[in-house]
Amino acid sequence: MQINDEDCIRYLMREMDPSEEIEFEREMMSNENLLIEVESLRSTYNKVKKLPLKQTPQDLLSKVKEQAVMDQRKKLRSSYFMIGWLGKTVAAAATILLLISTGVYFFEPFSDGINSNGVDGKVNSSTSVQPWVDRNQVINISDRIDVIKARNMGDEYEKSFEKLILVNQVSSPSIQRQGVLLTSSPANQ
Amino acid sequence: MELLKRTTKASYKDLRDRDLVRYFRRKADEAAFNELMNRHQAKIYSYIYSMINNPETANDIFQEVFTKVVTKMDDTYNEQGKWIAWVMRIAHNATIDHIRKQKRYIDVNSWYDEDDSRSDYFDRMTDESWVDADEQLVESETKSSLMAHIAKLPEEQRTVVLLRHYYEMPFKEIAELTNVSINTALGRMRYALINLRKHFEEERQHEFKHANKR
Repeated sequence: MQINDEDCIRYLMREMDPSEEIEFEREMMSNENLLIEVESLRSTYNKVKKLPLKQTPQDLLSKVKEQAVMDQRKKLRSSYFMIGWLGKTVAAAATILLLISTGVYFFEPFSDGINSNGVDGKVNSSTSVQPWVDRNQVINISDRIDVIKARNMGDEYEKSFEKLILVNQVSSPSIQRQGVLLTSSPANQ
Repeated sequence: MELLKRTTKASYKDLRDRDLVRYFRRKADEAAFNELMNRHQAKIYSYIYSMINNPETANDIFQEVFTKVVTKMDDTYNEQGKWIAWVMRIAHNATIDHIRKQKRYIDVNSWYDEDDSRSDYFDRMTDESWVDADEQLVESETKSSLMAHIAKLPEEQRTVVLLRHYYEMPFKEIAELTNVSINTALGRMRYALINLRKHFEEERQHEFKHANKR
């Protein structure tokens, strides 16, 4: 076994593996100088072990305890305050978001109504209504959308007829143009 | 929470350091901190005192250590680790910082040779900061002379001896704490014991001479 100076300390301080320890002891048996060295260090270390434990002065100890508890309480208070402040901020943000989303949900149908009664009288193209034609060739939409919308669309439909103007005088229409007029206006009804 | 409510003063003694630290951190639990202090104060104070050898300075450093402990606990202490090892690191750093500041202040042309312990700033310190004579009278003769011999050791050797003695710190941890290799830490312990042996021998010879004179 290769012995170095630090091994004596490792052996004395019991920081060796059991196998290393056995090896070291075997080496000590065969090497007197090593044995003397180890025993001499052991005797000195045994004296060091008698080094007294010094008690902290009582007044200092009380002061330190008091201060530590006070500091920790202060830290906890400030962290609670931070948590409270953060919590309140998050709660406020959540309330605002909730109010906005609720508002959007409730006001959406009314905004549709406003569009359908718009100034230019256009039916909202974004709502895809699928009308159906009954046996009498009448277009029906009332059962496809809600009552208010159906009424509005019916009104629009009626108004669209009012916009059509009868053509009384057709000035020298060409054959092609006449054909167009006849097919696109209710004048010949 | 329930556990905390059920924990009485008596049962704090059965708790591990880790649990006591948790109670102190979360609730500023005074009883938990008292128990921690009761367990470790003497070792921490003894280490600082033996390194500094001045009661007033040791008191200041002890107080400073616990201010740092409370301030740094949330940031640097990992509950999985040993609390006392962590506190010890703070105590060691505070003590070494103080010694270095003192060294600069006292004007030390300190050179340190591991083969020779003759250069040590303790040798050049003023009488006030030296081992207190009154304290020595109170202590038993053997113990006080041992303290004096320890105080004469170079700082690096003294640190290793005290960390080992008061904390039973493994050399691996001592090496980490003092930023050296394990072999260096072991070597410092060996030189410390050799130097102490030398001091004990000198003391014995001195006593022998005195006895002969009488």
